[in-house]
Amino acid sequence: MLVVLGFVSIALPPFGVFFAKWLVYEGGNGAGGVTTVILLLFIAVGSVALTLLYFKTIGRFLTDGAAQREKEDYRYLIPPAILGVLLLVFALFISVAMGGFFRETAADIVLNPVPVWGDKGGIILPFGQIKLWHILAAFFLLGIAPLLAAIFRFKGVDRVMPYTCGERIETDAYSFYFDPAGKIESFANLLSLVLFLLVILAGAFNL
Amino acid sequence: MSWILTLMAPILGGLLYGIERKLKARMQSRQGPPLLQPFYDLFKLSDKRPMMIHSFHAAMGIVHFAAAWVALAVLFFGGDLLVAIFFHLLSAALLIVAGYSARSAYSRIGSTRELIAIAALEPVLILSAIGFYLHSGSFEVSAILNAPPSLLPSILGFAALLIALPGLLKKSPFDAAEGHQEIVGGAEIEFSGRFYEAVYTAKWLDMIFVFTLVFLFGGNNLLLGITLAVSAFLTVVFADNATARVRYTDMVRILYSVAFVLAAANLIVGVVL
Repeated sequence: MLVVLGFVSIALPPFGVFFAKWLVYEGGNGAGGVTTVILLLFIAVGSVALTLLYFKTIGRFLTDGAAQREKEDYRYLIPPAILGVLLLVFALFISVAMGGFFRETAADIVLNPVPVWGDKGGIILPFGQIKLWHILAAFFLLGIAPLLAAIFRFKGVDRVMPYTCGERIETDAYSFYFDPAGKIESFANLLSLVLFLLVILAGAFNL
Repeated sequence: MSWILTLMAPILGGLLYGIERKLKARMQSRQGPPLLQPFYDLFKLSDKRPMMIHSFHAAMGIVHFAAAWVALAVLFFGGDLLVAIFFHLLSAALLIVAGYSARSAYSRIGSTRELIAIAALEPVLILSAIGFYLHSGSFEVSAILNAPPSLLPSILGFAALLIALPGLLKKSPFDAAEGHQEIVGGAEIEFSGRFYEAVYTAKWLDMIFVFTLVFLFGGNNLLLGITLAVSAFLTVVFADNATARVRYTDMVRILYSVAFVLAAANLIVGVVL
């Protein structure tokens, strides 16, 4: 449950995964010139790396029986449950929050008007828009449907064993293709450190 | 019109799949199945004894189908292209989750391969969408369809998408995620009966989705859009027939060294020049 809530919190619109990327892509186009090219290429590849990371954890969770059987004290559920409720509220009322508080706060930070508007439950940017039904659909498909699927059971359907070509073996195949990634781990760590420092420097010198 | 297209999408997709099978058979000097065979398959699947390995896995197959349909709806209602791509990728992600949840080596390896394919295909899709934006000034499909054709200004982006198409449709040479002779269908292997029906129909919706993306390159020129979509369809069927499956590592290498480079070049040309 903790893992499911955790992933719901990073997946739900308007803050999580693809919707956050949507804001960055649309915003990135406004930068102009070489900056835009570099920014967009970095986001395109970086977001994929992030997706792989998410799935490495999801894969581990779904394939590791011990992780699924683990029982936690109910008190551990309180913080993610609060987070989940807040996400629900912000996702459904993003239009109000984005059009008011968020836009004004962001404008105060960047010292420029922020071209984001809330409209009919959705978000409008200069280059495109997310409508309310997009948010609701994503909310259902990402959050509610997997939770319902994890809780409820189909009735009147026979359960069968997975197909294994007649062999009785336990496999640990979820991360099989991720193993070679270990070779570039040091390089990736160094790169992320450099990029992190660049962000600090860029912020410090207002670049 | 948007409603009709969205509601009819599974039927259009089934017909397209039937045409593809027929065409493929003719390319191999075979008679091939009837045009409506995909629909006969659906009737057969719905008659089968309902079986599943567990509820979560079966439900994810249905949600995978729903997400693919929502992706198409966003396109057909003239919505934001990036949002449509998001739902399309979400659909693939849900199938991956289903694949991981099954205690089958084939299913899990198929899921991981599918994930790696997404890692290679997503940047190309996104950069192609940005190519549309650079030409039409918007990510809205309705604006892209009202703008002049973006084929020539975004020719490199079009080439990139064309190369990525077999991967998006899990066709040879980029069908390592399914690999029937190797991993017995990958993430789809554990679905059967009515649950496989959902996964099977999602494939049809995927076909409509990717060829609609190709259609967008025609902009306000309907005839050009249709010509491009039909040409892309024939190219994919031909490539599926004429090429062997490449290893998943080669798939990533080819997609990044050719399709991604072309899509990035398209971006540079559009932004800098």
